[in-house]
Amino acid sequence: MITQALVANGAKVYVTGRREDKLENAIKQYSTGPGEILPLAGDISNKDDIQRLVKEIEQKEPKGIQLLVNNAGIARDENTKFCEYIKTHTYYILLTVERSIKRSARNVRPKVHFRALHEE
Amino acid sequence: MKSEFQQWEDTFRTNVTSAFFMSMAFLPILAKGHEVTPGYSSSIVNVSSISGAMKGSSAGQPAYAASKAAFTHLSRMLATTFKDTKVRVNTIAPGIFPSEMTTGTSGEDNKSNLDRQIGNPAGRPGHDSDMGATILFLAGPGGVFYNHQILYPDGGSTLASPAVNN
Repeated sequence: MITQALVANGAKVYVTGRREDKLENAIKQYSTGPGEILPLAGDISNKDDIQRLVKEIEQKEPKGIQLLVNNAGIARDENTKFCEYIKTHTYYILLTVERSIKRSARNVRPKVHFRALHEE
Repeated sequence: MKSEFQQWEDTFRTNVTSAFFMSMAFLPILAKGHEVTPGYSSSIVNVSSISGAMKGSSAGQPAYAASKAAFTHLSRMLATTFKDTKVRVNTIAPGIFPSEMTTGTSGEDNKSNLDRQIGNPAGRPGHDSDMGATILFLAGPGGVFYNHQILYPDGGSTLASPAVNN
């Protein structure tokens, strides 16, 4: 949901998760532009892997990034939950890192609309 | 006593600890991206849950609910810690949205359907557009003056059930 909204407004979004098939599926389905979605497979419950992700982004985005969305979440209460409908699964871990911004000119202040941040 | 220590540890590892390390690790390149567009500042958005504010156990899910309370508070701590770096930290604490967690499955489009009755004042689960509007508000240029905020797109769940956010 978050990635779709950002991409629809022109952001470049890296998504990360352990399950590469899920990432590829998300990218295939939701690369509707005008922004783009890129995969970045990794395990954010592992410190070494987090540091590897940072290095990769540093290389790909030398000017830095503007947004980090911590969206990973699991529930492991299947032994105690008392509503049938609540089942627990790891849903895919999603990190979105948005790099805007190719400005039309330097020193131009962003316009009010979000998309203006991402105009070429 | 049916739950196990390992389940609590796994829950906290993903929901709290990972977010701490991700935020700390990405802080330098977020700070670097500050003002790349004049007037636009970098930020972190943490997706927590109303479970972290509800006083009940979220239908028998104490580890999940406690982890989300910890995550929401971690967000406050990070906002405080990062304030001099100009990197802002805000939180979205959604109510019930269709996901693999609330429905047990997802389709080929990585989406889930939730068709049961929802006991919140809105009378419905959250829609993609409810989440989309919230992230666009926080991440867009209209959100740059917001820091250390917690937004609850929950259809009034925390209004109708005992919760600590009101």
